[in-house]
This record gives sequence, structure tokens and C-alpha cells, in this order.
Amino acid sequence: MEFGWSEQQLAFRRKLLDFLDETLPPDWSDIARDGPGSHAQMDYAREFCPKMAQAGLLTRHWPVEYGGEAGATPWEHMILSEEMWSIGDPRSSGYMGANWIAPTIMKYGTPEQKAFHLGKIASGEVLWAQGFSEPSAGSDLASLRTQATRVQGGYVINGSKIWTSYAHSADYVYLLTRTEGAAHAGITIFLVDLKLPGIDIRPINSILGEGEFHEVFFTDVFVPDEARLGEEGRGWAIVRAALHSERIGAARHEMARRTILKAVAELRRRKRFSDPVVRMRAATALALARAARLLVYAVVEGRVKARDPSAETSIARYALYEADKAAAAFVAEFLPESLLDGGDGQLRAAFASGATVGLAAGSAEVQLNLIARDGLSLPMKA
Amino acid sequence: MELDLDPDQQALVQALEHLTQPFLEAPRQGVFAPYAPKLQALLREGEFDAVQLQPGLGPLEAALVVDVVGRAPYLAETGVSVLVAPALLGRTVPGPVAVVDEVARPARFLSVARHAFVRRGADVVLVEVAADAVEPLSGMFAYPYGRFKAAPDLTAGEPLPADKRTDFDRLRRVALAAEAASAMTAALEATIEYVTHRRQFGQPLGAFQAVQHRISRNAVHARGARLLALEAAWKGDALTAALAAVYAQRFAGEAIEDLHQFNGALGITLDHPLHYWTYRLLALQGELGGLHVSAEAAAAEVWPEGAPPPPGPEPATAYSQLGW
Ligand SMILES: Cc1cc2nc3c(=O)[nH]c(=O)nc-3n(C[C@H](O)[C@H](O)[C@H](O)COP(=O)(O)OP(=O)(O)OC[C@H]3O[C@@H](n4cnc5c(N)ncnc54)[C@H](O)[C@@H]3O)c2cc1C
Repeated sequence: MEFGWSEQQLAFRRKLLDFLDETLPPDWSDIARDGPGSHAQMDYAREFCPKMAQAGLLTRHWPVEYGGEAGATPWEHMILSEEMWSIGDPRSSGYMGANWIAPTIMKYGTPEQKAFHLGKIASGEVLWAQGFSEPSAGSDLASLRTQATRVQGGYVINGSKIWTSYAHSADYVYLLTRTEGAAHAGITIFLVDLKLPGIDIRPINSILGEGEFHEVFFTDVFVPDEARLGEEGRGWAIVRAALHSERIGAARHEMARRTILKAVAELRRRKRFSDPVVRMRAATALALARAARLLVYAVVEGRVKARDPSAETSIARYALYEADKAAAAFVAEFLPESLLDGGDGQLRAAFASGATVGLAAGSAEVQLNLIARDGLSLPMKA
Repeated sequence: MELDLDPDQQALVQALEHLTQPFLEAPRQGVFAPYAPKLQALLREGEFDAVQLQPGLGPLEAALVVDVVGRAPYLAETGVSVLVAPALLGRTVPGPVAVVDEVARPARFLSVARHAFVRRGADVVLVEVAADAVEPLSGMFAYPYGRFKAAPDLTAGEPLPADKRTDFDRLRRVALAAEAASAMTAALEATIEYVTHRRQFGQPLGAFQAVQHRISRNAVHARGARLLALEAAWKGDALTAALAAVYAQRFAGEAIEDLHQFNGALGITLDHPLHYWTYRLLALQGELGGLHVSAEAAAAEVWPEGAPPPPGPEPATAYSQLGW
């Protein structure tokens, strides 16, 4: 057990920081104001992701056979996530491509899917959306109903998705559908081009800012067999692996830590940081972020050692939830002007992230259920 | 970064688990704070108090001793004798070693201590403790407590070098966090055992979601506290130590409340082991001034008095972990 970074890892972090300092525009904080799903930030990601790819940084953490750097490990992946997510993620939904979409394509995709999609993700030219939730399938994701019916040469999809972030400008959606079979048994995944005829995307206004999420309707959308990821009816196993990656994929611990440091710097400039209660709250939020970081790292360690994903992921996710919430509450209580016009965009975005962390990627309560069942082996109701 | 124990650390933990094995069964007739001189002696004989002085080992290994021993219902003092004292002095001091921040106030382990670190103004002095110099105190904390009958003669003691005084508080915070994490873990395990077997309304209690969720939260906090304490031991910086103490003290109260709640009335009997850990936690919650003092110690590290704030606006990438 040891808690330090290797020279190679430090060099990688430095390289990322240099790249960000050179590349991010001076008004990044304003661009980031409405979060990674906003129009402003997705437009910017179209510029940023290809630049990052050119600099060899977008998918450097991938396995060598997919163009990654020799010796790169899940630690490099986490370092990347920390440096990106903590500033609002200039890759926008590019982080999903890197975190869980590409890895599941590597594992379950056909050679053609790999050649087509991984290349596009690695060059930074595509952005993805995640089509999981439905009006009647939220926490109980496996009850989803969007139907994919087998036809000659492919499938026809009918149904609707909701809360889909990024859909307004994404190119592809990672879509969960029901083929034959109930609950977990009949779930099939498709990699769907969002420009296909029959797809209708409508924004949902959110309290958190523009572009947050959408409804996506599918009416007789034909997709060829080649769009199916993995076998028919075997999607649930893939989704579970993806959810493990998603839950800790965004380095929320680092966003929480920097939110506190940024907010306190501002409070100190305004001479509002001598009250011991405010200082205690800041330090406590930092402690929560630090604990979350270690719990996330325990999951990364499991990946390095190729252990099966476990309830450690939910433990880490719940700690991220607590850390993000504490940071958001600190901003709202002690630097409320940052939530109004003219405030720091990154702080505003961090607040919004804290406001939804208990729902996105599986709710906080669902994590507690999973910890109880899979982590602590508590008895289940008869 | 490597969060698994290495083979040496695993061997250490195994040896400790073997050593503490006879002390895992709770005392037969209820004792509130079952100090076990035998366990203390075995730790010394096995040179576990010297673990961090061995080549290639350090305070992290000492914190592992605190972690494993703290899970036993029987008590031995490890925080100071295994972690703090050897790190400060480069040698061991036979334990139990108490810490007396104010001579007139009760101190943990003082009634059974062989040595004590006593604060006098800015100084810290290590003294031998004679049994008849101390008045034992019983009460609501599951540790032996005592108070000096009269101010001890510090001239006969060994003052800590001035450059070690800040380390003293830092190491105590690490020890506190490790001991609290260990108590949370043991209390959690005892509770899981109870709610798995105790049935009401035709179900094991642990099947009720209201019970499960609070137990799961405590599992998150116990694990977080343990990793943070071990990181603080490894890193050796004042900030991590303070954050570890903050985290442990922030969630200790919730652990005490929830875990007692789910053990029902049985949990407050002397025959049930829960209180060994929860009423240690209660003591640790107020140790070193409690949460607000630990938090201020962390704040003072990150935002030192007198240092001007960075001029704004800062670059988007300000505050990367590189500096941590
Ligand atoms: C900002 C944001 C972005 C999102 N982006 C996407 C996206 O891009 N793609 C996508 O597919 N989805 C997305 N989602 C949806 C997200 O996955 C769901 O919100 C989540 O799964 C919860 O579902 P729900 O909102 O329907 O809540 P519900 O399932 O209705 O739950 C409501 C409440 O009940 C609790 N609850 C539910 N079941 C249980 C249970 N068994 N035990 C205890 N409590 C329970 C929940 O914890 C929650 O607190 C996003 C959500 C948010 C907030």
C-alpha cells in the first residue's frame, strides 16, 4: 500500500495541464457555465476534442492495441478524468466515449464496429448520448420498454427515452432496447446514428441551465444488424459493466475539491473567510472529497488488478455523492452570488452537478441498496 | 498508487490477527472498558510497537497495528505507543502511553499508563507514570481514564525537541483517525451480525430498507475513514492527518447513533459487545478538541493565516492535484 504517483503519472498530469493552459480560451468559465450538456459547451467540444486527439491525449489511456500508450493503466485514465471533469469537462460528452462507451465496444464490438466507432471516438470527431432512461424506467432500468423488433436485415425501433443529456448535438446514441424476453433477459444494445429518419429530439427545460436534457422519440426507426452491440438479449451484462465505469468515471471528488478551493479563494479576496464556522465547513467538505478520492482509487486499483467490479463502485459513488453535495452546499450558502449572473461559471456548473449527483448514473438510494446486498450481504426481504 | 496491502503488510496484519485472536471474545461478565494488560504485553514482546522502526517499514505499518488491535473488544493502547512515540523519538516507549493535554483533566489510558506525554505550555514532556500518582476514573467512555492526583514532576521527564512538537499533534490525529475507523468497522460488523439474525415482523431486521440504508452509509464512512487514516500515516503531512481526523469525527456520531439503534435494547447491555467500540468512538469524537479543532487544523494548513489569497481571476486549471 502506498499513496504516491509515479514519475510517469506526474508527467502525464503535467502534460494535460500544459495542454489545457494552452488550449482553453480565456472565457472558458463562461462557456462551462451551463454544464457539459449545454450548446455552448458541446459546440466548444467539437473544437476541443480533435485538438486533444491531435496532441495524443484524448485516448492515450486506452490499451496499446487500440492506439493507447504502452504502460498506460487505469490510473492514467483516472488522472485524465480528474483534470477534465474538475474544470467542467471541455470534452463535453466526450468523457462518456472515453469512460465507458469505447471500453464496451472494445470488449463486445465486432471488428467492423471497433474500426468504425473507436476510430471516430479516438479522433475526437463524434459525441455520444446515453439512451437508457425511459418515462417508466428510471431506477428500475431493466423495466425499459423501447421495442426493437427483428425485420429483414436488422431491427425496427419504437419507443422513447427521457432525460437524455447531450442529445441536441450528439452524433450517436448508446441505446438500450427490449427485444424478446422480460426484465433483464430481453435487453439489447444498439449504437444508433441520431440522424436516422424517425428520431425526434425535444428539449426538456431544466432548472439547472440550458441544454441539460431531452426526450428522444423513436418511430419505426430502422437500424441494420451491424448496429447491434453484443448478442441479442444479452445487453444487461454489458450495461452493468458500463454502469460500473460510469459511476466513478467522472472524477467528482476532484471537482468537489477544486470547487471548495476556488470558492474559498474568492471568499478570501472578499474578506469573508475568517468565520470559524465557514472555515470548518470548508475543511469538512475537503475531507469528504479526500475520502471519496480514496474510495474511487480503491475501485481503480481493482481495475488495475482485473478484479470483477463489485459493490466497491457503489461505495465510491455514494462517497462522491456526499462530497459533491457538500461542495455545492458550501457554494450556495457562503458564496451565493456565484449562482447569479456575473458569478464564476465553473462554480455555478459545480453547484448544478452537486444538485443532480444523487440521481444521475443510478440514484444514491440505489447505491445504498447495492452496498447492502452485494457489499454487506445483508438479508433480503422474503 | 497501490491501495492493496503488500506482502509484508499482509504478513503483519495476519500476525496481528493471530495475536489478537484470544481477545476477540467479549469478556464474560460485563466490563465497560476491558483493558487487557496481557494483550499490551504481547504487543510489546512481539515488538509490534517497534514496527515502524524496522527498515522498509514506517508509520503506515504502525497505523495497521492500531487498525487491527482496535477491532478487538479487549483494549490495548496502540495509538501513542505504536504510532506516535516511535515516530517522534526513534525508539519505543513501553505502553500504555497516555497523553495529558491539561494536567487537571482526565486522560485516556492514564489510569493504566506506564508513561505519559504531558503538555506544559508549548512544551511536551514524556514522563514515567507511577500507579499511585493517578486517580482512576470510570464513566461513560469505553476506555480506562485517569487523572493525576497532583501535577507530575516534569523536570524528571524528557522534553520533546521543539521541532517535533507540531509532529506530535499531527501523529495524534492519525492515531485518532485510525482508531476511530477501526472502532467503526468493528461496530458495523457486530451490527450486521445482529440484524442478520434478529427477526421481527417475520423478517430479519437487515432486510428492512430503512435499516439497510443507514448501515450502508456507515460502511462507506468506515471504509473512507480507514483509507484516509492510512493515507495520512503514509504521507506524513499535517493536512492529510487533519482531514483524516475531520472525517472520522464528522461521521463518528452517526455511527454511534445508527449502530446502537439497530442493536435495539440488547445493544445497551454490558453483555453485548457493541459499546466497546461505540463508546470508544464517543471518546474519540471529543479527543484533541473535537471536530471543530481538527477542521481548523486542516483549514490552517490550506489557508494559512497571513498568506494573501491568490489574485483573481485564476486560470481554469488552478488547484490541480499536482501540488498535493
Ligand atoms: C442531470 C441528469 C442527467 C441525466 N442524463 C441521463 C442520460 O444522459 N441518459 C439517461 O438514460 N438517463 C439520464 N438521466 C436519468 C437518470 O439515470 C435517472 O434520473 C435515474 O436513473 C433515476 O431515475 P428517475 O429519475 O426516474 O427516478 P425514480 O426512479 O423515479 O426515483 C425517484 C426516487 O425514488 C428512489 N427510489 C427508486 N427506487 C428505489 C428503491 N428500490 N429503493 C429506494 N429508493 C428508490 C430514487 O432513489 C429516487 O430518489 C439523467 C438524470 C439527471 C438528473
